[in-house]
Amino acid sequence: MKKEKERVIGFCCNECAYAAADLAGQSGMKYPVNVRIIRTPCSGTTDPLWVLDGLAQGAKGVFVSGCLPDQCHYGDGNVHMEESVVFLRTLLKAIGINPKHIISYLNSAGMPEAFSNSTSDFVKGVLSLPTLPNIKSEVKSADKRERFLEILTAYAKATGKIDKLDEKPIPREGFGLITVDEDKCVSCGSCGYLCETNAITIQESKKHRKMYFAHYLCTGCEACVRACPTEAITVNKEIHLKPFLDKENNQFAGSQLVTCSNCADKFATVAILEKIEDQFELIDSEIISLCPSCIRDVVGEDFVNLSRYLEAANIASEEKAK
Amino acid sequence: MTGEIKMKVGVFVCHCGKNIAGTVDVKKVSEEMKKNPLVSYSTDYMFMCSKSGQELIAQTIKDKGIDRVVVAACTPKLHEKTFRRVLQKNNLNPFYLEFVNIREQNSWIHSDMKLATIKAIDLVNGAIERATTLEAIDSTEYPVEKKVLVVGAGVAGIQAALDLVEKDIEVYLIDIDATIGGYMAKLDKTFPTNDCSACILTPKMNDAFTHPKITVMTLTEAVSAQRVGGNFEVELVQHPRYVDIEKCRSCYTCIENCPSKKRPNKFFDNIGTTKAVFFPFAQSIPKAVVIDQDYCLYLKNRDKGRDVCRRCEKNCPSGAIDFSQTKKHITMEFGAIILATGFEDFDPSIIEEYNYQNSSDIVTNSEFGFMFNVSGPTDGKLIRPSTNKAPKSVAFIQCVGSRDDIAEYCCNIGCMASLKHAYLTLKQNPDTKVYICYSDMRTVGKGYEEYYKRIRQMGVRFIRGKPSQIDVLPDRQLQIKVYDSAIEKLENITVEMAALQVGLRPSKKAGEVRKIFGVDPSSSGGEMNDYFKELHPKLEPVDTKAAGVYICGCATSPKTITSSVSEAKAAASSASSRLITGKITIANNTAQVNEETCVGCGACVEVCPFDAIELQGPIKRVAVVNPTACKKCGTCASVCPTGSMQLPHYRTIQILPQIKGITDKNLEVKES
Repeated sequence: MKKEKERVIGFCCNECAYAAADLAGQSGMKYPVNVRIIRTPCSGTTDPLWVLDGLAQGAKGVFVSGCLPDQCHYGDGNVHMEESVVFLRTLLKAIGINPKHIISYLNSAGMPEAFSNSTSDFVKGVLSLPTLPNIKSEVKSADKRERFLEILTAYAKATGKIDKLDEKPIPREGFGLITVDEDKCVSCGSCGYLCETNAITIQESKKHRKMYFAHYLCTGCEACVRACPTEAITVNKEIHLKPFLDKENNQFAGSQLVTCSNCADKFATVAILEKIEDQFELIDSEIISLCPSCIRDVVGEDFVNLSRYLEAANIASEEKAK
Repeated sequence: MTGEIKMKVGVFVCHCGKNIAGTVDVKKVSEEMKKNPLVSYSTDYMFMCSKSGQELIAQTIKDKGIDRVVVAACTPKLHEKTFRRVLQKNNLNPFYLEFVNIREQNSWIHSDMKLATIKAIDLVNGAIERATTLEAIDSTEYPVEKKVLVVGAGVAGIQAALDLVEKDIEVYLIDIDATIGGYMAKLDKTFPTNDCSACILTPKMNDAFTHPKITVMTLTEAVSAQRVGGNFEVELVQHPRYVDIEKCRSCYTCIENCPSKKRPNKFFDNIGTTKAVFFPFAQSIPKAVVIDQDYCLYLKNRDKGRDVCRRCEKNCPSGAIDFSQTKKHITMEFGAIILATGFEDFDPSIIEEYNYQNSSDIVTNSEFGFMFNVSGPTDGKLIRPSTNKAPKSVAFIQCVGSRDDIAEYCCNIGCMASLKHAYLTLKQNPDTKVYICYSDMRTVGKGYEEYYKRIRQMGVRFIRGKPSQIDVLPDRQLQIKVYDSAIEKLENITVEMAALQVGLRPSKKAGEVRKIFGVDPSSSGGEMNDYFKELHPKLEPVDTKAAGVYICGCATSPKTITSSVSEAKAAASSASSRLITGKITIANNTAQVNEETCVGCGACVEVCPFDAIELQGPIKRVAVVNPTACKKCGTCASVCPTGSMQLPHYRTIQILPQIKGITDKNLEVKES
């Protein structure tokens, strides 16, 4: 495509960047005709996906512009925007795309010259870069996370980086990688039941429960951390490109299931029983092999209220000894 | 939202005379848009903003039944509102408008007609795609309490309170001090008219205290605040005064009987002492004594279980002394907050070469000024502290801790304050030799320059330079080394007293207050930056980022009484605008959460600059936006990993079509 027909999309905050662009026009300043500005309330409004999508849809470059440091009209949206752009540039570099295709710069509403200079410099630089791979047809999903993944994967495939992705994690809110302490985990499944995004899933066969984690679905919400009764899970808010783009779904825990000696229902894992064995020392060992509902039936006590039960069991065993 | 009904988009391309049409082929733009299946009407027109242009849109809405309007013209900052009104008048939701800027950001920037036309086509095409996704936005009303909390009862706070009650709004006026009045109450005269500070302030203090709609609470501070609907729920803490204000008849019996004499007079910057039971100053309001628990013999010993003294209590004829008082917590709802926490003086001790701590004759300009106050620590007599006699010579040193490495900014009042003090000194003792060592005389204001000229004619010696050193000589005289750049000569002057015009700083508690009410600092980092940040330095000087919180007086920056009062009136006006109807209307385009898909990760809570988002729910947590606190910046939406948080009109499903529209037209463009 001819250079002047290339497009560069600019996300400009309504308060400063857009106003500076207006003022540039009113002051008769020039910047390249390639620029297509999209107005946003704050530069912080600009979603990293929009920036990526701009490139994916065929723009040669995307810039995001906001207010000067400490002068954001909404507190610190410009800080978050700059963080997002740094994050995107790191991502692009990791998948083999020149990060120079995107940029952020700050100026006040009264700095039209700075705006048109920064814009001109960026457009000039971007137009001299080689053409980006055309991935337009591979981006289809309307789901935010899925579309993000599609764009990255398509680029990584086009550049050939997909087979040699960097192992270095890229820190970012909204993404998570869990670490599970194997000594603590009892494969109880609580994390899987509470996970909203299916990043943690449970697979059960007749005798086994297996737990899987898919990094690409994890939002780092830490529901699993709160759910875990043994404090076995920690979450790092970061992207690891290889499992992320490969949509890896890896087993991280598993244990044999225990069936109730009374009703044959699966009610616990071997690991759970090993963990709580000590608490049942005083009790008839038969109790431990009963499922909660059978315990209620058999013992006639609320299983959940374990202390009360233990007390009762204690007295019973003492009397028995007498 | 999309796809329910097939949208009918109308496109209107403005010539703006030759402004747009001179560089953009507007006919071609409107023709090109007709090819888009979403468009049911497209035209160009000479002046869209004119009455006939607006009528054209109105007519098209009626005749063609268009339900989304795309106007390509100047900047939306100019006419977006104009066209929104046209839509509203014609029974379309005003938010069904998409505005394209093809003048400021196209025709005025570029000169190649062909390329500028292509750019316009791209932009309008993007707007059409986005227009079809736009949702209607309505508004909701929230009730607000017609009740304002004014924090800080200096002249600014008092003035704001008095203005508010004029509008029938209830006010709670609180101050951490035992009296209201603030800094102005300590002054003797005010520049540039030399009117007596007490004469103009005390009537206002009294008006505020006695007004049935103003509740004055001294020794009180705000400790927490949260938004509830349109209101603020504020927790106030009132510290014990140990005196019943209602019963105290200010007869001085307690003060005469109090054996504890060594309490430094904190109200006048520790010049002189008071008893442990005292009046902050003679005209203090509320006019009731107060007991300082750090100096009261009974209170100091009470904790140790000993019962001593209580002579004030035993001798009080009206039984006003009440040692049973304790800290009171009060929680109340307010519709608006005005912060007027004022300033304090910079402590010059850290500037070693000025020897502030090594000579009692080196004072701050405030301390110097308090001596002229008839109800002040020296009963209105200027004395040299080391001899208790009138000084024979005085030097004022300007800009100490202002306009230097310690602080860049000007204190705004220093030049006039020193001129005033020079005047007062000469009025009391006409033979005194007075020097003013200044950097620049900044006497900008009504009547200020005239005042300056008058003082010059009184024989004050002005030295243009900042002293490098103030030495204390063995006979307690002060030797000041200063290079006078006006006559290019190093001066060595010897004086009996030196007054340092120190810089102004935000009051110590300003940082806490700022955080409680969600107001930004003026710039990041450092104690000096606890000046409150205004929403806009020129156009919204008393509004803040936190809707419903207003600022005035020296809490925003150093300023004169005149400016503080003006700002107080402005803040009162802004606050009353918010409350006057008893309800606030907020367009429902604050950030919205899809509760079904929200996973409660809290990324939005982390980034929200306005603390407008909370995670709620016992097990499944979801983000909940407080629409009265949300300022619609959309930062939350940009970090949401699942896309559950969205800002109306800036939803991903609205921006992505726009991007697609902008980049879509490749083939057709090549043909042209």
